[in-house]
Amino acid sequence: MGRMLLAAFGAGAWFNVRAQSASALTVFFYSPETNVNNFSALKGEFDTFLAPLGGHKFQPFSDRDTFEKQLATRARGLFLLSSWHYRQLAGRVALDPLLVGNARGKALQKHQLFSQTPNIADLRSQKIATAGTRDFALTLLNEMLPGQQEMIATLNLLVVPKDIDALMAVGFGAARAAIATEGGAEKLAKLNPKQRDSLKQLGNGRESLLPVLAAPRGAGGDAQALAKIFAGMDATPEGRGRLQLLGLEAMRELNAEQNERLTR
Amino acid sequence: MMLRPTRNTSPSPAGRLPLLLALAVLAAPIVAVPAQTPATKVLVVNSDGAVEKYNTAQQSFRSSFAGPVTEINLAGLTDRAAERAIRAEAPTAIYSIGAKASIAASKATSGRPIVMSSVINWQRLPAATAAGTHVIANELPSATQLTMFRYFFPKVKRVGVLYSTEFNRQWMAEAVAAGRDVGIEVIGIPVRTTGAARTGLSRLLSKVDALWVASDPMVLADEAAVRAIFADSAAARKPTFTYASAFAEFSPTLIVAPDVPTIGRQAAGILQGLVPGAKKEVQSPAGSEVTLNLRAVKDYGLDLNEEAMDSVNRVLR
Repeated sequence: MGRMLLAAFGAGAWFNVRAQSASALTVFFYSPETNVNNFSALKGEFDTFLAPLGGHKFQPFSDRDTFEKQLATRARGLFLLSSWHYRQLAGRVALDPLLVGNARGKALQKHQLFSQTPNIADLRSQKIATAGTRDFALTLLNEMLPGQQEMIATLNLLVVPKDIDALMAVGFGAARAAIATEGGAEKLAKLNPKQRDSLKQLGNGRESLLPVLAAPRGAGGDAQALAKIFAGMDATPEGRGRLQLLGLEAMRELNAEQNERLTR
Repeated sequence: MMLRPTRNTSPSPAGRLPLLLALAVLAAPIVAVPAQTPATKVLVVNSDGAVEKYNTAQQSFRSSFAGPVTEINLAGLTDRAAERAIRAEAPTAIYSIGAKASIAASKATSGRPIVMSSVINWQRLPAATAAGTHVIANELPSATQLTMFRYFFPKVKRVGVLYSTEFNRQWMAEAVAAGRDVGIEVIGIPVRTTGAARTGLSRLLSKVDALWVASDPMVLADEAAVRAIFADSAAARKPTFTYASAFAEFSPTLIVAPDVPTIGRQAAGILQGLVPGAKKEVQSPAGSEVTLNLRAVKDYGLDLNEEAMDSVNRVLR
C-alpha cells in the first residue's frame, strides 16, 4: 500500500512538473519609448517573480526587429509593448490588448519638448536628448512642432537612458533640448526645482496610453492566466517593485475608450 | 617580438570587466555644438580592447556615427608604437578612449580634432587642454548624483564627503551648492593626506545620514583605502552612495554612474557636428546607470522611494 501511495505521489508530482513546464509562457518586452539599459535587472527580477507562479519567463529586447520576429512567429507568450508600437503593428499582427500600464493613477502619458531657449528656431542643427528611439522621437517632434519638418530634419538626436537624464542633459549643456514625458518633468520639478525652472516647454504632444500587455489573437487560457498575474502585481510589494522597474504602478484591464484609442 | 596594433572596421569582441578605481574630477562648462560637417576619416583609438567599458563606448560610437570608421586597439603597444600606428592611419579626426589612446592621439596628430572619453582625471592630461580637443568627462555632475540620491532616498538629508582641497576644492563648493538645490546638506571634511582620511571619516560619519564616496585621487588613493572607507561606513551602519560601478564589490547602497553607451553616442555627436576651428567642447556624461543594493536598504532600514525603481539598472540583493 505504502509503495502504491509513493508511486501515485511520484506520478502526480511528475505530472505537475510536466504540466507546469508545458504552460510556462514568456513575456516579450520591447519599448521604443524608453532606452532600456536595465535588461539584466528586468530579466532577473521578473524571472524571479514569475518562476514560482508557473515558471514563466520575461524577455526584454533592445532591438525592434528581433521583438517583431517573436510576434510574427506567434511565439508562446504575451507581448508587453508601447501603445505607439502597438498601433503601428495594426493590420500586420493580430493582437488582443489585455492590460494597460498605469502610473500616477493614470493610463495616459504625454510627451513634451523642453529647452532653455524660448525660441524654436534656436534648435536648428542642435542636439535633442531623448530616451526614445530615433523613430519614436521623430514622430513626437513632428507632432509637437507642426510645420517644422525642415528644421526637425537638421536636429541631432542624443539617445539617453531615461527622461530625467534627457532633461538634466539640457541643464548641463550636453543637449539643447529634451523630449520627456510630462511625468518626467514633474519628477524633476520635485527633485531639483531649479533645474526644472530653467526649462521652458516648447512643444506638447498628444496623450497616449502607457505600455500594453497583449496576446496573440486566439491565445489560450494560459495567456489569460498569465495576464491575471500581471493584473494582480500591484497588490504585493514584490509585484509592485517589479512593475516600478518598468515605470508603472499597476496594470489594469482596458476600458472601451482605451481600446478605441489603440485602434485610432 | 614586436606587437602590432589591432586594426579593424568591424565590431570588436567584448572584453572583460576591469577593476577600476576611478579617481577623477568633474567636467567644466560646455560650449554649444556648431553646424554639421562630417569629418572625412575618423579613427577610433581604444587604449585596451580587453576593457569592457572601453569596448562598449567604441561599439556605441560605431553604431551612432554616420560614416566610415577605422578602429585600432593599442593594447600591448609601447607609447611610441601607439603614436606610429595612429600616424600611419592619417586620420582627419579621432575618438580616443582611455588615457593611453588620448595621450598617443594628441602626440601623433597635430591640429586634428580629438574627442576623448573614459579618461580618469582628464584635466591632468596636457592634451585635454589643447584647443582642438573635446572631452566627455568620466563622471556625472555632482548635481545629477545628488538628484538621484534624493530620488531614491528622500529622507536622507545630510550627506558626508571626504575630499582633498588639492584636487577637489572647487568640486566641493559646487557639490554644496548643488545639494542646496535638491534639499540635501552636503557636509565635507577636507583631508591633506590619504592617511588622514580615516580619521576624518569617523568624525564625518557621526554627523551624516549617508556617506558619499566621491571621486578623489587622494582619498581613494588605492584599493586598501577604498576598502577601509566602505568598511568603516558599514561598521557605523551608514549607507554609502558612490559614482562608479567598479565599487559594486564593496556593497555600496547606491551607485550612480555614467551610462557608457551614451558616452559613445555623445562622442559621435560631437564629431558629427564638427567644423574646422570649432570651439572646444567639454561635456558631462548625459546618461546615468544606477545600481541599487536592496540588501543594504533593508539592513539600514532606509525609506526607499518605490517610484525610483524605474531608474534602476542593476539590483544587488
